[in-house]
Amino acid sequence: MKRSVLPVAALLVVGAFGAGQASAQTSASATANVSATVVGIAPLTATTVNDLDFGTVNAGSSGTVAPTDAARFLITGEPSFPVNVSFALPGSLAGPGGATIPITFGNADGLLWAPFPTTFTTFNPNGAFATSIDGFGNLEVGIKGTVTPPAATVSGAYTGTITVTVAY
Amino acid sequence: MTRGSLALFRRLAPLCILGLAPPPLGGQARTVPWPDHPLSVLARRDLRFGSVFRGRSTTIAPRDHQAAVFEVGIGQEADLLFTFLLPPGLISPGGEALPLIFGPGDGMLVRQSAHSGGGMRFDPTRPFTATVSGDERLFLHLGGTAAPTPTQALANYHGTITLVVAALGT
Repeated sequence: MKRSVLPVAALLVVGAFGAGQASAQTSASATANVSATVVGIAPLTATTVNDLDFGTVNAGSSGTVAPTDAARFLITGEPSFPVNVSFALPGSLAGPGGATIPITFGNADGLLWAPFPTTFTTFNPNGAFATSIDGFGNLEVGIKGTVTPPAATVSGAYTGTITVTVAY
Repeated sequence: MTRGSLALFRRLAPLCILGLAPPPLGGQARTVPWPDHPLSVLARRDLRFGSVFRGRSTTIAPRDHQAAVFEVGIGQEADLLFTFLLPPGLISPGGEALPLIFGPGDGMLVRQSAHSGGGMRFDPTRPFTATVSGDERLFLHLGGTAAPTPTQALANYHGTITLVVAALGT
């Protein structure tokens, strides 16, 4: 009798707890699908369409250009994708015998054509410009500026380089 | 009975009494199953990232129309434990893996009674609990981020998400 107490008690406890677990639904699950399609991004290209040519500028005066005569770059890439456009701009143009003339770019000298030569909006070319490739995969930007050769500037051809950089 | 076995019997005896105590009126011993309504978990919508670009992460917000939606109901008041089984990535037919990222802002629990469209944010990477009342249905929206590498293979990628719901009680 002494030995039978513990086994019986334990069995009754297990039986009472187990009955509840066997007859109840306490968990359930469902599964959803996940999908993605990886596509490539069209590589960016940049082509110079037009140089920035001030023509003849008299010493002691300033010269600029019309928007349609400004430097222009054609950029291609992933349609409708955002890009950042930035310029490396010279502070002067180099002429004969080491002579230089200053060149400046104003806050509205950046040109965003949509499309060339019909309409454009301006931006500050002195900093990064956030824009987008159009729906056809093209982006056309331009830049103009101002040269101010001082009086007594040596006559001759003065040149410099503008570099445009575009990145996704 | 030895002293040790007597002590153990004293500990177990109350449990035996609880398990065998006759109900007040029926006169028969009966265990009541819980829950007494079926627990229902349904996948209502898949998580679809659509086209993603190499080297660019794409995030689907939990209330986006491309997010996954699960519907849960139990037909009575209950505390429910939710656990998502999330894959670390999607797999292409060629066996390449597209990394997936889930975080605290990727889950939103919306109650059927919520007319305003609001909900409670949850982190699908961690189990969490919520209380459902009566016939109320819970909708669990799940977004996430697909993070293709710059050299990710161009392909269709697939995977599955499983939601496990456990009824804890009331």
